[in-house]
Amino acid sequence: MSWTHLWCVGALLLATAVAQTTPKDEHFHEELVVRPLSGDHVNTYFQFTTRWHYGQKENLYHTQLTPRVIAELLQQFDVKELHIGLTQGLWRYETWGYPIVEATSGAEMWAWFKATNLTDQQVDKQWAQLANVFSGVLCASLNFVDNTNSIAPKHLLRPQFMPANRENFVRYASLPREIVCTENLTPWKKLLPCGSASGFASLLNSGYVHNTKYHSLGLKVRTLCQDHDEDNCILEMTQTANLVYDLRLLEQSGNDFSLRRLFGMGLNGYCELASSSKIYVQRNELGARYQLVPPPPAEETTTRGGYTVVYGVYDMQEQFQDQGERLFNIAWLAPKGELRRNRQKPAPPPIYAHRYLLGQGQERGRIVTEVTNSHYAPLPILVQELIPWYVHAYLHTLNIRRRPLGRNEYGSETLPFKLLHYAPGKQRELPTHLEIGFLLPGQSSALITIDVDYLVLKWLEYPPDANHGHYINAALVASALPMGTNYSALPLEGHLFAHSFNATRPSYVLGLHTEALIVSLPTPDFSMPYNVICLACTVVALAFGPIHSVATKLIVVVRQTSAPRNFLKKLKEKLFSRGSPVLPTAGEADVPEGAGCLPPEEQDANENDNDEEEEKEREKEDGEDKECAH
Amino acid sequence: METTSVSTVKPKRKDKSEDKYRIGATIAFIVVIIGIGVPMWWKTTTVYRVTLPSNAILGLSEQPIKTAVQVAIYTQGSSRAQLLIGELQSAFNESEIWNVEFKHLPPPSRSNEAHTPAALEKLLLQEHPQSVGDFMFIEWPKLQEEVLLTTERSALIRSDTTANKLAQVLHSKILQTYRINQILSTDDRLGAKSEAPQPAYDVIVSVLNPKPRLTHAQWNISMAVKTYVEPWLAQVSDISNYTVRTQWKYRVAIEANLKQVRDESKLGRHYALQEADLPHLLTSISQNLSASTTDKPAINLVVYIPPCKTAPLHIYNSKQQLLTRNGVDAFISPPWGGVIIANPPESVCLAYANDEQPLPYHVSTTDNMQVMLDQLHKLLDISSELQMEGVKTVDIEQLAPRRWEYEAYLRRSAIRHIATASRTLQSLINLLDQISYIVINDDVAAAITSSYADILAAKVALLEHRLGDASALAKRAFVASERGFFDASLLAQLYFPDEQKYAIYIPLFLPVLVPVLSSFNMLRKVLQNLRKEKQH
Repeated sequence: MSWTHLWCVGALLLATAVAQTTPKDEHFHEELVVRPLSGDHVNTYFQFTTRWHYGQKENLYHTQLTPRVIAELLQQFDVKELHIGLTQGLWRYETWGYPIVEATSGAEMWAWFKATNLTDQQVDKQWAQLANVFSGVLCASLNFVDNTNSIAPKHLLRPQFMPANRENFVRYASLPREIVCTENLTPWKKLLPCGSASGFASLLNSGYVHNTKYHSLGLKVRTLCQDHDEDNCILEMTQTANLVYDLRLLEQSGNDFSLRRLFGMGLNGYCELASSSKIYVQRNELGARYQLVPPPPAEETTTRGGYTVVYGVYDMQEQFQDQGERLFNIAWLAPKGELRRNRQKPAPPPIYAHRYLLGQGQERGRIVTEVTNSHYAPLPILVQELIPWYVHAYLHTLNIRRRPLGRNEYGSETLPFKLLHYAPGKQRELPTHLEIGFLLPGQSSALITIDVDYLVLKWLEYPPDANHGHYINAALVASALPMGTNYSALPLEGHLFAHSFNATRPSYVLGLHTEALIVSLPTPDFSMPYNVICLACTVVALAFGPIHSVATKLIVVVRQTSAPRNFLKKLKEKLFSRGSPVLPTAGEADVPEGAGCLPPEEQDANENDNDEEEEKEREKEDGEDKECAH
Repeated sequence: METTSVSTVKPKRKDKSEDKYRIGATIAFIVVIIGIGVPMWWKTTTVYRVTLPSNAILGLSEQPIKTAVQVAIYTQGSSRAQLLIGELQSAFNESEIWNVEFKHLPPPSRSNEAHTPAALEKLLLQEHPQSVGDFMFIEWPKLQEEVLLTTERSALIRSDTTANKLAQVLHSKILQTYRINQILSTDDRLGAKSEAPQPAYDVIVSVLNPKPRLTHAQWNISMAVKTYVEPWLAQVSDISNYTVRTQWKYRVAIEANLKQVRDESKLGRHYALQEADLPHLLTSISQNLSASTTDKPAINLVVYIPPCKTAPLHIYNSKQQLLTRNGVDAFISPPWGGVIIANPPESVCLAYANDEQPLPYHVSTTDNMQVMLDQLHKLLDISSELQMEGVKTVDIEQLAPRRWEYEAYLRRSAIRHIATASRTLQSLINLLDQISYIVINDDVAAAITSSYADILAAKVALLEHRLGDASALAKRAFVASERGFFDASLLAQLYFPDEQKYAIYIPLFLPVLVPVLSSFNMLRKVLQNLRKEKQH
């Protein structure tokens, strides 16, 4: 087969072809942040960012660094922004401060949709499909996301895509029951351009990652398009892995740690496709007491909202310039002989939240969310509740009580709502969606309570391991902080961790998650339906036999005068009386007419001749013989 | 016991009047249990199943798929044409698959004006227009070969070409009888291995560059695909729709056993990839091609750029012979896709061998795209590879495939769709007969009946010489039959098979039915007694 004419076309093409190993309009960055936390904990935060200026939608057919599945996602659905979090463990705000990326325990997902002429029904459909796609891509149970556990947040979630000015739709769901493990990490790593072959992702070995106290995988996709011009767009995909190690669990003496200790191996280099590969190590606060080996080649001081952090910066592309085949390691050496109680305690974060379940029994309960403001000034607070359909919440019982810090009991002082959005739930169809906004005075706590009833589920609605209990999703708490204490989240317009340096803003939007709750609904014995059917059938059958007999049969008693007295004679008679050697049991079943049954008159006559005992004996012997149907 | 013994003391007349009630009660029990209870239980526990044209579907294979084709023959002398037609007709008379209609074309009015075969063909076509699937033999005495197949629906023949040769060409090239036989064969050993074409495919072109730091390969793959693959696929998308996507993949680990072989090149060596290792290579490649959000089947076209450490890489067979032809190392594995090994140029790897800075270079678009198009031809099963003595085929001059080849593909796909759809429906009906708990809901039943109707219509269209219609109908029948067969609702009762139904209800029915059935015996006796009394 020859394609001679194609040669000239190809030659022309070659002249115009502009493509490179690392494309100009697509960039990949990898970052690692190590922050010592209080209580012998270390937070390591990985961020992998791919930013693709793809321009027109047509170009999404041809991917380079961005995974193909993400490009297909934008073609198939009207998704503009997508967040997925897979988390195991609980972030302790009071001692650890705020994380760089927020996540709730279990699986969490939200997405923004936007297109011309998009309707709510279409969004619901796309949302379910989207969840199914990512269920497959990340091997998570996101396929359980549907309309019965999704809400459309009104105030709390703000879009991060562009342009977000016109009509857009949002859906949010979380699955607190989801357990995050290796099967999620492996496909998550496959989305990276270098995979786990090289670069920072090579540190994420499941054996070490899942030994941590808290680990959270995140995936965030957003599009940034020019206003009124859908043909000039940027696709931004951020993959994050946020881990908290408990140093006491690492086999070692003292408080020294190193990359090799944390991840099982040193760093084997950087991802060749990355535009930047940097490690940031916090040097002040709890990081100040450590001596770093090797010392960081550069240091960066960032002041954000009056809060200063010093980071030591290791540029991996510089470290590995001489192309030596070695592993890179950073060791944190703690001063010897230091006492734990002398250590610096971090300042508590301005806002933190907790959640409890009150009430007793399996019928009534009360969900309590406690938000504490340790700042001196009042702060605006937004709380979003997603209560599953099997829990009925009563809006009239909702109230917010306040107590100043330092007092133990909540008084009767209530706080007024500034904002209230309530979408009642519907059995088996919709969850209850509640959003509350209020102003929390400084140095005080707010107690938000709402009474709930638990429904009794149908037996097919129980999940596997039903005795584990049922979850009530974590509440989302949001606020706008006036200062940057403990705050390290990325600014809205930034896409790298480095963009949070010196990013002073009038206020800092903070999001928190409370704990998820677990309730035990009455759990039936799941073999019960079968047992009930069998038992009911047996009872009916047992009752039916006598009723049928009484209604359709006449029982008459036959007495025989020549009944043998002892057992052997009786047996002999039984065997030979029928003329043929029939077994006694078989002989009883079939009675020839008239053999043992006599007309009533004769029976009547026979009655007086025999004594009672004998009659009973005879009854036991061959009861069938004496029942005659007339 | 006490009450019955008392009742027996009562006179006979009283007993007789009670007999009436007992008989009434017995009949009432029988009516309630057998007349109402059992049918109601049967009705409520029965599996929902819409009635299907089962017998008609099972009888589908009795009626063979027969295709009508019109073959026109033009010769300069009409007696030769008659002779050829007569011989060809006798050759095709026996055929169970083909209903070939041979037509003799009279010389066109201005035949002496035609000085080239193309001009003659044009004149003939003006007078006798062809429809889809037709074919034409034109005699052209000055021909070198016995038969020359053009890119349209025609072939030129020499004056001395025998009818036998024409029949051979028709069978093996134009109609491809042996492949149709493969499709229709019910014998698994002879049956076609490839599947029926699906309505939509993703064609995914992946460029694998395992060592991006050392191999600075540059290639505007999107442009290459837009220039070569997409226009070609657009020409053949009557049966399936193709969406072309490209992706780059880096740091892909290839697990294959490579052996270094000394040679005379500047590098002094190349690497050998054993033919037997290709499946392993394919496995490690397909693991790394990322997931898809659609459920369309994918055709993977992989361009693998070996790093200089193991380049150039060539495929060897088990006899240690180099399999590289014209500098191309490529293989396909239908229906998964194909792999091209695009070795970097020698200069690039020389630089690597001398520890110099990696040289950026462009991957050749024309070389790789030609191979890729050829692979696509083979994967989609459009081209006819068969070589015959004395028969030559005109080379393709544009992107579109040869007309007769493509129409043979249409015909083959239509027959394959009909055959597959019939088999699917038949196995579904057989399954329904064997497994009683399969649910057939209204949607599935609609899909099955519409598929059945389309199969019949497609068969008629094939016989009536309407290839375009037949192809569309057959595709629709195929899609509907697949939808019916794979519908999830079929298995709604999977976990409650009949055995369980009986097992659960036996504790009820056994004790209830035994007395009820035995009371029949009693009724019989009572009737006998009544008859006796009447006789007395």
